[in-house]
Amino acid sequence: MAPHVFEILLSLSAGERHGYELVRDIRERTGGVVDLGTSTLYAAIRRLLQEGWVEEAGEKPEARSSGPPRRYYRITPLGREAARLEVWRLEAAFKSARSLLGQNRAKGALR
Amino acid sequence: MREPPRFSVRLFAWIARRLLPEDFRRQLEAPLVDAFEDRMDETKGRADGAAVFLRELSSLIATAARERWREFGDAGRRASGEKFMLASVLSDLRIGARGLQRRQGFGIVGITALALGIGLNTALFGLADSVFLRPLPYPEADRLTVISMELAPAGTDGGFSASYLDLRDLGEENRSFDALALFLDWQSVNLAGSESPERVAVNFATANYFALLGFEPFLGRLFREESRLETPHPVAVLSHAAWQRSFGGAADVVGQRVLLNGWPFEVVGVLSPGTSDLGERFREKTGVYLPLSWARSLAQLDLESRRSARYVYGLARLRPSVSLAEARRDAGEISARLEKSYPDTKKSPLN
Repeated sequence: MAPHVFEILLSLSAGERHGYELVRDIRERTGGVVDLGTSTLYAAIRRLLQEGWVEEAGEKPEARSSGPPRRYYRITPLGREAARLEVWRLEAAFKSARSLLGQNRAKGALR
Repeated sequence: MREPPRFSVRLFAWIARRLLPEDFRRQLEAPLVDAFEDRMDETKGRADGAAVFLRELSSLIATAARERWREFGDAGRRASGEKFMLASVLSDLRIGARGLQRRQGFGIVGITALALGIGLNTALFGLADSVFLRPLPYPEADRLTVISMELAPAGTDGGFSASYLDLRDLGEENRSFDALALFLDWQSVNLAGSESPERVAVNFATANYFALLGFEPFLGRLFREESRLETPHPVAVLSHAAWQRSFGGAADVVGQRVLLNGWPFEVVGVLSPGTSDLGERFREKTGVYLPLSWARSLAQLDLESRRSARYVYGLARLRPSVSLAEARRDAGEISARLEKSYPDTKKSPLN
């Protein structure tokens, strides 16, 4: 799973959000490491809608601006499951990496 | 009320309308422009407004290019009505074209491939490599055919490995082939017992596989015939290159014991230099040949217990009087008979 897709699913797992809220939340949560362009975000949302991992949650007025109502998105059970599987995969990769790097350190390969 | 859109927002919306595919625009243009406006609002009073605008613009252009390419691929798939990705078709065409360019005038079909649809469909699939690129270095290559399984619908998705039991029945019942060998090209294993342990790719094969491809031993012998899989003898034949690499070309290699993933095998022979295994242009070169019966222990592939265990390919030589079309009909009839006799096979196609 692409990192930005994973981040979108994580953001939505905390509640419904509209597009730019997602950009802001992901940027803040990752300390600016993942800073999505709005086009990249909506291309991903489009794919997530097609896959059924995310669904539209209607339009609501935006609290922080006086502009038009914003379209909100929510994660589906399928999307939640996909995110859980990705967490599981990352955990396994993390454990394997730590064990490999630990072994190497023991042999003096990495300090 | 929000102020009328700024110039940057109008410009962004104008570019988005021109670049993004229609589907994307219909679904998401308005929220995209709103989100862009939110982002630009955030930069008010900051010095990085122009940088953010340029970043958004480059993201828009890259996204539009990706979406267009994807749309192009979808259209190609819809038009062809096949499951293959357009990219894969284009890649095949490129390979074919390059091959033809290199060998102008070469029109001999070196090898053909026959797809045997066990419980499914029957159709032909082509080995572009063999047909277009180089004549195959095998005797009577124009009568050799690879037998594989095809998943429905016919003609769209061939080239899958087939059931050992089905191929064995085909070998017994057909009227089209002089000989039918079975093989299973597998992944690499650890080869120990030589100068330095190394990874070698394995091909499990029946004894007649070598004869069909015209392989001769450089040292020792090749496999002896086995009628069934129940009497495995742990013997191995090394490719010439693997012998050179792992044993430094030692003449006394025949009779030596080697360990393959921990299983002991006796080296009974080394192949002549220059032998090229089937499909080697697409995968790692085969380093060691083992009797097909050893797929069970070494690869944990149980070939004989059920027909839905599909791991094996067939390699057959057509009888001189039989055309490929006739062989295909013959195989199709046998395939249909097997489907009738073993209807459950279809329910569990790849397990």
